[in-house]
Amino acid sequence: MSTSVGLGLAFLLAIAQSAVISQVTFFGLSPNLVLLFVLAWALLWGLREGLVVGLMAGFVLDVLSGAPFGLATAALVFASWLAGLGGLNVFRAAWVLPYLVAGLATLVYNVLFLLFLQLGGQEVRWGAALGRVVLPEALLNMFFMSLVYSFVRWLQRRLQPRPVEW
Amino acid sequence: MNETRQWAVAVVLVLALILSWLLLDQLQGPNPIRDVASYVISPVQFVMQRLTRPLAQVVSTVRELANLRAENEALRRENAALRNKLILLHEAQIENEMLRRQLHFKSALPNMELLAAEVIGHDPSNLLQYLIIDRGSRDGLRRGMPVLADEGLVGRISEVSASSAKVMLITNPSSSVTALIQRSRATGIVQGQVGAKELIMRYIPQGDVVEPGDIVLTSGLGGNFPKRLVIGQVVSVERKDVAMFQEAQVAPAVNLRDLEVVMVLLNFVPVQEPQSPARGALPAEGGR
Repeated sequence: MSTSVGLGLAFLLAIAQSAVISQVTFFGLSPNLVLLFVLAWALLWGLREGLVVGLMAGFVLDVLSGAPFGLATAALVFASWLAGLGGLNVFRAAWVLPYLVAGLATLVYNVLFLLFLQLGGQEVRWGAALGRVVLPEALLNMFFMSLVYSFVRWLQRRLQPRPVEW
Repeated sequence: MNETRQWAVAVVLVLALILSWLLLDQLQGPNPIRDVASYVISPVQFVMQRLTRPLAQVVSTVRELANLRAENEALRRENAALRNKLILLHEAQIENEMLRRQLHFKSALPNMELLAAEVIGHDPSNLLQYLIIDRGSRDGLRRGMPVLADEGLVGRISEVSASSAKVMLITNPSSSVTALIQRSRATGIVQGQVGAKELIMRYIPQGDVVEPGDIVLTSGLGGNFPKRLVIGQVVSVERKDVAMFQEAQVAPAVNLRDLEVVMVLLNFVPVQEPQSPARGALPAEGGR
């Protein structure tokens, strides 16, 4: 049940990211709500669920992006794997974990993106890309993580079966 | 007995008085009794009317409360319907204005076969600048076709499916367009930059004159874009004595962020199709 809900939401959110969210900009950048959703899902539901949802979201993003096909999927799956690992370790209960994961995963996601582009033969100006897009986007995503994480946690409470008390 | 006589006299007097008033009134002349009475009564009437008006209104409101609620609801509905109509009218006005501009643009470029397309999405990544439009190979779109707006060049088709296509914007870091300065005819290559709204015009020879405010057009060199399409306007120029070329920051003529409708130039065959970023390409016009 939870997987199908996650897949459905990831699908819709990825379309919304292209159609609507990309038009909502803060200092010229839009938050990557798909990445944040996948990260939150991986943190709260675990590594396996995170990877499945990341795969779906990445696929839709790839369809809608001008980047080489598979790039968004690869970057999202890798980011969700990182988040899933973060959710398993001893810092799981720390309240800063989602924010740290959001910042770090944004860096990893975008650096992977740029690396793939460079490997594909495109000229990448690393200084400009990191300074103008990657780092500011990481901060923006950290800010928006509280919203997305709260939503996914609320969803988890609704979807998870309650233990029966005798 | 005495009392009965007094009553009878009083009644006769009153009747006589009334009769006299009636007679006086019938004479069509001034009626002093009415005038005097009016003079006394009018101010009192005025004050009383003023004092009781709110009360009357309250009473009337209470009486009409049920009706008012229904009337309010009806007015609300009517207001919402009117507001919707107004919004639709405003939207039609905007669309009309857009179509007018397109028509004007089309008639200004009679040799160009243009197809209007609606923007349905943007690239989800902040690192890339692509649009998704609602026209595809079914409508005759091919890779490499230039995409325009009424203000100037938007980009070129980079990917086509049956019913949609991706447009690589001129601001995309992979985009590259051969250009010239309208005033001085200085040539260069206009490229997109990561995370910047402005374009950069590179490879402008040192001796050529470029000033802020100059208009930048497509030069047509390389054969991937038609000549004389507006790209933008020079914002600033960077000259270094040791460098072989000058560089200029160029503000795009088209507000690429808020585009709703674009036009695809159908009858222009580009020399070279834009390279897919996955395949890689040398820095040439179109896609790098």
